[in-house]
Amino acid sequence: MRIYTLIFFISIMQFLPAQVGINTQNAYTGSVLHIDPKGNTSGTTNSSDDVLIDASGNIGIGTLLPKAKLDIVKAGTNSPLRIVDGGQGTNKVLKSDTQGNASWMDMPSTSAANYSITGSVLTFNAGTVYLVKAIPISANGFYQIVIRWWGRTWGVNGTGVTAAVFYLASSTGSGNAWTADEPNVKDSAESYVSTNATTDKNSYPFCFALPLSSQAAVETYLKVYIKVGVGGPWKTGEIDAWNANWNPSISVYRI
Amino acid sequence: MKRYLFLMAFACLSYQLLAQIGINTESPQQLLHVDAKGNTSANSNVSDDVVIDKSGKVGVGVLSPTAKLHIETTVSLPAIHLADGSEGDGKILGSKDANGNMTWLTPPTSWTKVVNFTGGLRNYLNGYSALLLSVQLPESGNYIVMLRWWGTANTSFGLISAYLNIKEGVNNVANDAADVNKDNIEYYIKYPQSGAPFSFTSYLRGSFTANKWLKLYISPSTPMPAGQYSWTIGNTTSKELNPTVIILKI
Repeated sequence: MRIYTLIFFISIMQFLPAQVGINTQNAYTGSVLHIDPKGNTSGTTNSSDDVLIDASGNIGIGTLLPKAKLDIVKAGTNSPLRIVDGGQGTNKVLKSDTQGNASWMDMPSTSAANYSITGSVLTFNAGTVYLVKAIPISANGFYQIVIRWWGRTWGVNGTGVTAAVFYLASSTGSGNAWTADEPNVKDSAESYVSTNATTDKNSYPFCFALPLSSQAAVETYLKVYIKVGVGGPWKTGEIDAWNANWNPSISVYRI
Repeated sequence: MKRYLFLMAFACLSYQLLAQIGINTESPQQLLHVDAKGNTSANSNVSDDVVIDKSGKVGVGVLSPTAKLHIETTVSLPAIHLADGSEGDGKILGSKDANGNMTWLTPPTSWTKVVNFTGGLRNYLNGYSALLLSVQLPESGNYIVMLRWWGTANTSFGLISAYLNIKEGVNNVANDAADVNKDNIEYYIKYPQSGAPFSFTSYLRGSFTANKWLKLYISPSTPMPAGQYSWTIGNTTSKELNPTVIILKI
């Protein structure tokens, strides 16, 4: 009956005294629990395999002197800490919610690219909206574009100027679809240009840099449309369709 | 024998249902409960405690962990100290591979530098590439160069242009053989009167590597042939009446 009671006592609660050593007969001084898997620790030597809880409740993994609630010192080639929650991936970082719960998110990043409007002669008649470029979006974010125009006009108004409005629209497709895209215009601006008042192709090239901005989602497109409103038509590619310096280009930044 | 078997069965059953191991405590509150200072009472004085609950969740400084590893601490004692050789001031915890293995990573930062060309008279002859600016970059990343030109030219041709390009170099030497082109444009300006000021703004972009040099080159062009006129800056010491270059790292 005494054995019965003893086993019952052990089975509901095991009270162990301070300084428990597992696989060691010499638990590290001041520790509460010291596990030495290889059984080779002497003082602080050969502690790279050890797990320890010190007298303040700090956990040391690979160290007998934890300097934080959880102190991990790497030994060998294994990473010191690994979290697999389904969201893990290369170059991700831990983010917190309001409670301090950690989960993986992509490292914040930026991107920058250029798109040259080259390869063919383009004519932009006054009053008509044309797609200049559909920019594929590979990551969610805020996008800044700069239209760096380089082209000529075949006509100006009576005061020697010509002008066009540029639209930046978000879209799920890459095609020329102004009617569908017009409600999704995120930014627009008109650029006025003073150039020489000829109506033939001897007109001067003109240049300007026009910034436009929009938020955009991954796997959509940001589309640049142009509508010449004063003078025109504007043309590109007719001096040299393939020279990137002598045609418009669009810089795209994700910030 | 019968009693012995009964005893064994009871012991196994008891362990399965009730076993709780306490270290430094007589009242373990979880499967394993280490009370380092031996001072825990109910839910007070738990900051020194380590527990593993029956779901295998580990609590450090908390008796009821709500995550696989749940650490409660105060600012004075860090939650995690992780030394793998990659640690450094300002680094952030991230994964180095697709498997969630963690290491310290350098967080992305932004940076700007504004350069005013107030350093005296400079002439840039058409048809020749001249180094306007070279800046050693602090970090790798995507850079935007915003050019706000303000200057004069000595031609009455009616139309002037210049090629502008940015290159990545290993030094600040003009037209170095190792320069790598990153972006280039030609910019035309209607310019009817020699000596008159003109201004424009344009943008160049490129990805650059830390400690390399960002070099901005100008080569005035139209009207050709080469060597017949110049773009001029530095007529005054005013910031507004000279070009400015803003370099942004985004």
